Amino acid sequence: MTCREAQDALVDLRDGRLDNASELRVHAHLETCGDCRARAKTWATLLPSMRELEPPPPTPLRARRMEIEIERQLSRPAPLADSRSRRWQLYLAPAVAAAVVLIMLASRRHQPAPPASLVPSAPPFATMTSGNANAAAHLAPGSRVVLPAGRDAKLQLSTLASLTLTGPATLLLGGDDAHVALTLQDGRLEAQVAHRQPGQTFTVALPDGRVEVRGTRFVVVARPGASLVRVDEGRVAVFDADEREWSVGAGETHSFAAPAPPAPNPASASPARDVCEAPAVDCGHVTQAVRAAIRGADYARVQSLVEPALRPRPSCRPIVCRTELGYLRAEALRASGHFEDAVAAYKTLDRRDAPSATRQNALYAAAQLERRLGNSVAARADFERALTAAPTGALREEAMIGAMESAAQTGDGAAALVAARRYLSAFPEGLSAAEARRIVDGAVGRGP
Amino acid sequence: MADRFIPVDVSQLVERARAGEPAAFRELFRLHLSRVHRIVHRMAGASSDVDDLVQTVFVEGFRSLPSFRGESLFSTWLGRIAVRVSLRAKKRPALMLVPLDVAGDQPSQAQGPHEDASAREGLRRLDALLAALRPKKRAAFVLHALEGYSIEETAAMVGASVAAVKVRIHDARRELERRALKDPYFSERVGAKEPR
Repeated sequence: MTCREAQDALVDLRDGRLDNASELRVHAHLETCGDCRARAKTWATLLPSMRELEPPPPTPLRARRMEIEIERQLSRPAPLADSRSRRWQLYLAPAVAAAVVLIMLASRRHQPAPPASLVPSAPPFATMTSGNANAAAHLAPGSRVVLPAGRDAKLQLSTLASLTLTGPATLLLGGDDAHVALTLQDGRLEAQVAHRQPGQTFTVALPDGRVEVRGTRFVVVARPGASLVRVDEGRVAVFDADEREWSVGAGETHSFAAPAPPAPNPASASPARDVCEAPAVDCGHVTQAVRAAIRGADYARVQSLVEPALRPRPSCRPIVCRTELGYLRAEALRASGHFEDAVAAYKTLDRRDAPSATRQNALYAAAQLERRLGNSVAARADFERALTAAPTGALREEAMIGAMESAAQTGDGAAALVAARRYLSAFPEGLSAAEARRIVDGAVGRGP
Repeated sequence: MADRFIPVDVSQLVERARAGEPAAFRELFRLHLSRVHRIVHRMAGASSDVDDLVQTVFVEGFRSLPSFRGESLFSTWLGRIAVRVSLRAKKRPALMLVPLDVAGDQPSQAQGPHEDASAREGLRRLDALLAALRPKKRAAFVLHALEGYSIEETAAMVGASVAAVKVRIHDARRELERRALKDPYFSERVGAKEPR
C-alpha cells in the first residue's frame, strides 16, 4: 500500500467503512510509515473538530417560512426557462436520434481501423523473459509453455506474479487478471504471488488436485500420482483430486495422494482423510459473494452464504477463510443493526489461531459496540483483551483510551486511574492525554 | 448525520408525495431539512442566500420526483440536487444584504456564552477554509469527509468518476491540512506539529 492510498483511506477507516483486509493493510502501513502516522493522528483530531462545527439548523420559524415558500412555488407552474428547454428537447430529440442513426450506418459501411497509437494496448497477460532463445515473448491466456529437460523459463504475469518453470514441463496459462488459472501438467513451478485483492483468485491445477493462493511464495511439482506443494511464505489452500481441502502454511509440504483405488482399504488409508467428509468450501467464491452481499446490504444472503461455510467440520482442517468469513459475518450483523449478535460474532474471532491484528480489531469493534449498548463493564474487559491480543498492535492507543473511558463510565475510579496512568506512560502526548491527566489530577486532588 | 438512519419509510413518503399528498411533502421536507441545509451552508458558505438555496433544492427536488427511480437513497438523490444548486449559486455574486426578518431570527444555542462564541468562531474559520477550496474539491471533501458519504456515493452526487473524486478529496485534504495547521483555532485543537 502506498502512502497516498493509506492517506486516502483515513476517512473510511475512521468511519468503519473499510473491509477487514483493507483495514489491516492501512494499519500495517501506518505502523511502518511515520509520515502517514503523523497525518493519521492530525486528521484523527481535525476531522471530528470539523464535523462538530455544524452550521446551526434553521429555527422552527425559519423552517416554517421556507415550507410556506416551497409550497407557494410548487403551486405555480414550472419556470418558463424549464418549459422552454423541455420544448427544445422535444424538437431536438428526433433530429439527434436521426443523426445518431446516420452516423451508425455510415460507420458500418466504412470502418477504418483506428491508428495503432490511439488504441490503448492492455498489458500482456504474461511475458516470458528468459528460457526463450529469441527474445521476451508476450503470452495470452490459453498459451501453452512446453519446456524440454534442462531448460527453464521465467514468466512475469501482469498480476504481479513471478513464475519460474523448470523443464521438462508443460504449463497452460488460463483465466484473466482477476482470476488467474494455471494448469501445470508436468514439471516444477516456483511462484511468487503478490497479495490478491478480495475476490481475486490465483489457482494452479495439477494432475492430482489444485492449489489456491492469496499472496505467497511456493513451489509446486507436477508428477502424476506424486505431485507436491511446498510453501515458503504465507499460506495456500490445497485441494486433492476428490476436492478435499488442506491448508498448507509456510515451511510445510503437502504431497498429493495418488487417486484412490476403486475399492479402498479403510485400514490402509490415513485416518484424518477418511473421516473428513464435509464438502469443500471455495473460499475465493464465498468471500467474494459475501462482500458483494454486504455492499448490497443483503444481509440475509450474507447469512445464507456464511453459515454453511462456517458450520463445524469434524475431523477436517479448518477452511482457510474461516477468520475472514467470521469477520465479515460480524461486520454484516453490525451493519444490519444486530449489535448484540455482532458482539458475539466478533468475540468468536478471539482464537489463538487467528492473526493477532484480527483479534485486536475484532475485540476493539466488540468493545465499541458494547459501549454503544451501554455495557461499559463488558466494553472495558474487551478493550483490555484487545490490548492483550496485540500489545503493540495498531489499535493500542485507541484500546487504552477505550479502557480508560469505560472504567470512568462505570464509576470505578481506581481502575480509571490505573488506565489513565498506563495511557500517559505510553502516550504522554496522545490524543486523550488531557483527559487522562484530568483523571489523574482528579484522583490526586481527592487524596487517598 | 443523525438523520441518516431514520426509522421512517422514506420510500412510502416519496410515493405519497408523487401522488401529490401535501402532508408527504411536508414530512420529506422536515426529515431532510437539516442535512440539505448543512450541505448548502458548507458548499455556499454562510450567507443570507442559504435559506433561498435550501428552498430551491426542495422545489427542484419535489418537481423532479417523477424522475426519481429509487436507484439511490432519496437523501443521496436530494443531496445531489443540493450540490448542483450550491455550485450553480457560487457562479453568481453572493447577495450581501441580510433581510431583516432573517437577521433577527438567528438560532439560539443551548450552550453557554463562551462555548457559543467559540463554536461560532470555529464555524466561521471552517467556512473560510472551505471557501478557499475550488468548488469541485470542496464538494467532494464536504460530502465524503464531513457528511460521511462513501466515495462511490460522493461520485454519484457530484457526477464524476470515483477516480476523479479520490483525487479531489486528496487535494482538498492536503490544502485544508496545510491551512488548518496555520489557523489558530484548528492548530490549537490538533496540538501537533505540521506534518511533512
